[in-house]
Amino acid sequence: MRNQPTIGRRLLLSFLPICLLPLLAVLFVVHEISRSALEAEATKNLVSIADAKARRIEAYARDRLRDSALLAARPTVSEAVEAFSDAFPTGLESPAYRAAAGRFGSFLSYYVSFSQYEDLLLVNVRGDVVFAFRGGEELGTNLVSGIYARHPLGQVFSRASTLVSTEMSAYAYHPATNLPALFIATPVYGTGESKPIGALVLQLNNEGINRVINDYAGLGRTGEAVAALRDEDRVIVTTPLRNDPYAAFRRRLPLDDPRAAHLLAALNGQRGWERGPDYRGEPVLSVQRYLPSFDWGLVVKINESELLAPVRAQRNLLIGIAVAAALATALVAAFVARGITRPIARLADAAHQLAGGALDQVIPVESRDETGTLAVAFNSMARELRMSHETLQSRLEARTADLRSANEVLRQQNEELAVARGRAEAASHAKSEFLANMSHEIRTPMNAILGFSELLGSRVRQAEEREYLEAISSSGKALLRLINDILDLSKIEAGKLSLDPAPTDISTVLQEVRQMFSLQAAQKGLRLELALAAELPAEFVLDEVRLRQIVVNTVGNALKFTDAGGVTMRARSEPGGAPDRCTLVVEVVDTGLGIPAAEQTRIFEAFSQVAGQSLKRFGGTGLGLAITRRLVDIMGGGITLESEVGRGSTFRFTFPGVPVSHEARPAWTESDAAEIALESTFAALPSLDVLILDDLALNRRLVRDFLGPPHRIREAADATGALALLRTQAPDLLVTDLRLPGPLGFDWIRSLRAERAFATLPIVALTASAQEVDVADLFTLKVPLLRKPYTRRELLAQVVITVGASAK
Amino acid sequence: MDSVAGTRTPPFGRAWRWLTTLLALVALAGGWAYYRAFHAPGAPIKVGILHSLTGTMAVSERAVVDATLLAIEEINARGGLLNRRPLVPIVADGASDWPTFAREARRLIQQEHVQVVFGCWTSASRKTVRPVFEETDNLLFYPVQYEGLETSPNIFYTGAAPNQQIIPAVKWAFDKIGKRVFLVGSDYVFPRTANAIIRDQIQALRGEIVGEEYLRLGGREVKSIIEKIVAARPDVILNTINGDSNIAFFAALRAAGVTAASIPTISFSISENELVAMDRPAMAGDYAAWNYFQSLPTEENQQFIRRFRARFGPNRVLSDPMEAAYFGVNLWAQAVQEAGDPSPRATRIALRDQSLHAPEGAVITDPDTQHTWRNVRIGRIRADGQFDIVWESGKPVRPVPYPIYRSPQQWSDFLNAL
Repeated sequence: MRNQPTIGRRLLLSFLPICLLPLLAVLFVVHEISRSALEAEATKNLVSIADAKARRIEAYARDRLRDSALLAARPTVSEAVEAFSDAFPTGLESPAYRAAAGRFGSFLSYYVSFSQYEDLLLVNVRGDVVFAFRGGEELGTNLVSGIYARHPLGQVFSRASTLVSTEMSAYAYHPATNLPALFIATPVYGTGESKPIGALVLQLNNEGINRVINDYAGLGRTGEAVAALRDEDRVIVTTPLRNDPYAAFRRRLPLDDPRAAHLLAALNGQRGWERGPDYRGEPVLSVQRYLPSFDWGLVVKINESELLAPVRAQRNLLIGIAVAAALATALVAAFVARGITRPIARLADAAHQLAGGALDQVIPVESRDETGTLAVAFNSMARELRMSHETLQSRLEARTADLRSANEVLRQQNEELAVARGRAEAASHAKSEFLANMSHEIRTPMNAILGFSELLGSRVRQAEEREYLEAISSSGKALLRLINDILDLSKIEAGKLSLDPAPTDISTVLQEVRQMFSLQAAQKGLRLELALAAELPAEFVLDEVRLRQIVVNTVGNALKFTDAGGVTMRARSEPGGAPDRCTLVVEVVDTGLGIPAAEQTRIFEAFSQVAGQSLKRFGGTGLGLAITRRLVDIMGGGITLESEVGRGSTFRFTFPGVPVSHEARPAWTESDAAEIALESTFAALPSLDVLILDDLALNRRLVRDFLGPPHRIREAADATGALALLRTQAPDLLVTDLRLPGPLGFDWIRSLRAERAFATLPIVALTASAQEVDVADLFTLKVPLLRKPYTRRELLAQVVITVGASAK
Repeated sequence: MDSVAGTRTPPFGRAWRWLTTLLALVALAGGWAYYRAFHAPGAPIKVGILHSLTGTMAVSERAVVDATLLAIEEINARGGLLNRRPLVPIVADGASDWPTFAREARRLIQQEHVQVVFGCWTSASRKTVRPVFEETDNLLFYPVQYEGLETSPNIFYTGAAPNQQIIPAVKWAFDKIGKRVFLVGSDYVFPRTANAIIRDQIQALRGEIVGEEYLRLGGREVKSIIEKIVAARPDVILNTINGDSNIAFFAALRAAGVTAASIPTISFSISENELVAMDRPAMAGDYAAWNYFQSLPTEENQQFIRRFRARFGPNRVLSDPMEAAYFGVNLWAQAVQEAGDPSPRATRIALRDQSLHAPEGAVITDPDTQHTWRNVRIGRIRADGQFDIVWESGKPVRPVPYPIYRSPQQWSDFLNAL
């Protein structure tokens, strides 16, 4: 935009014609006027010079004619003609002629020399030249019949005689002098006679005319006067030229030559001036005059180049002025255009920058014209914009600050929440920890209570005592179940429960559950039945332990609330969306009390039972169904309840998308026979040297008493004591608690196994911890684990397996 | 909305409208000034024409009026004089009556305010108007050959002086025909003066005048003259009879058995114009002396004839006085142009040595005498009323109104004695 100022160009386009057209018109008119004035002046000058020359030449001719007429009218001349005419026949040397010459010689000499005539002739009436002042060859010749008869001399004499008037010949070369000559003849009358007695002839050279012609006053460098005569078909220059002194009667031009045109015009009597070529062909301004006395044309001319030199100079000056004016106009236009466009361009720039966001635009106001007003308006606009922008900005900043503080509050709240959550988690963890510790701490005495109750059971014989012992034992077991349920629930709620999917034979699991509850069902007179669908896949890949727990809880619950009829377990599979996946459906159907519809959702909550059903009557922790539901959720399944009060309930567990296998594995079942065989096998063991490591003496006593005689039992309360006994006594079996003072039991067992002496030592680990123990690691160390509280049978079985294995 | 848009013409546009209006006005003014300066006719210049439109001289003079008018019209057709000032001719009738000429000349000058008068044929009429022109200091262009012996600062003589017509003719007659001469003429100033000059010349040339007779102007009483001629048996008759008396004279001459072959006549007042009314075949072979003949073969003359006939009719003939009247107007116009002023006083100075290329050739005004340098020609009459040119001077001849062998005073005395 700055490079192409359209306003500027428009201004230039307007300025140039507006300024230049009148200027050029004026210059042209001025030039034309002054040119024509100059030409008119030059022409006028030339005309006056030509007029002057023509008049002088004509006056010269008239003067000579008058001279001649006056001289001829003198009586002395008449007498001279008479005297010479009379003496001429006697001879030029005769005394009479000499006397005539002596008498008239001085007078004629005076006249000729005074008037600058070339010669003076006296002619008698017959044409004889009777006197010649110069005494040339003309003397004695006859002008009518002699050699000069055809010469201008003879002709002018003849004319003068017959016309009885003064006659002038043309200029022509005179043979006698070899110079241009002109003759003037006048009849001479005799004294007192009315007839001519002869003639007076005066010979004139051309000096008088040449003086006039060659006077170049007022003719500048190139001006000159040219006289010419017409001879048949030629024009002959008759006077010396400025650049050719010998041109007279020598320079000739054909009549039809354009270079002769101006001379011819003069010869035709045309007056006036014209432009055209001169005799040399050069362009001239010429003025023509006719010289009637000589029948000559006179041309006074000046070269056009000289004439027009001032015109040319003036034209160049005017062109210079026009160019200068054009430049000045262009400059002024450019300046004005710049003056107009620069503020506009600056305005445009500022507007662009304003649009680009630079709001601090202030344009300098340089003028009070429209652009100045525009600049002022722009500035106020920019100011308004800036102010509103600033207002907006400050509001925005306020909002931002608000947001930031709100964010800060949120962040603080988040932090507080995180802290709170951390605290809550810590609290939860602490609760779990607490529960774990609690269960551990409870299990340990429970181990003693149940263990010793079991030991006592074989010794009490009295019925009443036996009832008391049974009460202690069953209460202990109930307490233990409660603790386990609480522990499970807390584990599930703490998210610490992890699944361990493995191929599982559903029918085996359900049969084990039925066996488990078969005694209880028989005691209440209830049927416990198992109904398996025929097409049930051999194995489902799922967590067998948890599935069993679910079924056990439900069946236990169903048996608890069923007084008549029975409980039926059903299992079937449905297609599960993929070839190797099925939906497993397990149902537990009872014919019990039924659950009112209003209660059906509540029964899965912890510590809740159907209203009106007291714990006292049915027992249980109230945690069974809550744990069941959570387990089902974890396993990705669903649970539905169909129940009618008085008719019974159906709990249906649905596990969709369970991977299946149709290959059956040989089922491992613990037979009653094997159980019965344990006592005898244990009894068959040789006397073992057993080291018991436990920090609690009561625990050590329970193991000692479970194993009983004949096995030698040594006890150690800590690892150091145990290690000392191991090194000194080399026991056959080590039964150790995993929770030991000093090093952790696991690490201690590992370091023990690292020693060669104990690499194959039979070890059975005990633990009261509810926490997960790395059983696999213990297995690689060939150490079986027993969880407290354990039964005597469980301990014996591990001892048999462990010692028997090492013995073999 | 349209009206709103109309009022919202950009200021630039309005300025342009003003500018263009201004430019148009300036252009108009410039054009008007240019027209005024170069094309508009200026104030007319009045010129007088004073000839006998009636009476015995009307036959000759009306033709001269036509030639004068042709020149004026041609000048006007070229744009007039001095910044396009047209010439307005005022034609006055001298009625072949000399006092009428004087009265009309005075009227033209003093009432019509003409700047110049082209007029007169007879010397008698010229001599009656001369005092009027000299008194009013106006200009008269006199187009007819005459006897000379006169100069006036207010008269330009474009006709021949005696030395331009009579004297060369006498010389030519002496050379070509014979030396016994019979003079006849009308009885008034021109023939008597002309014959006086001829007498002097013939004496100088040692010739013989065998008779000299005069006839009343317009008279037809030629019988006694013819008888004298027949009796004298001259070699040549020099005839200065004017007007229609010539018809009677030549009829009687031929009737008396005198033919051009037996006794040729040289006439000084019979031109092509006069021959129209005469028995041309009978005239054939006789001679006339003039400065111009219609039969001149030059290109300038042929154009002149064409222009004249185009204007006045294809059968019209041209004569010496007509041509002299024609170039007289042009000499005057050229002088006006050079003087830059049509007034008589300014024009007269510029007329002193005017020259132009007339149909007859170069013609020049002589500053001393205000007569005109002209070629001299002698022609023989053809049966068709035109002339064969038998002699010419070959160059313009200086006008000498007073022949040198008498002084002007002697000539004046002679005239007064007539």
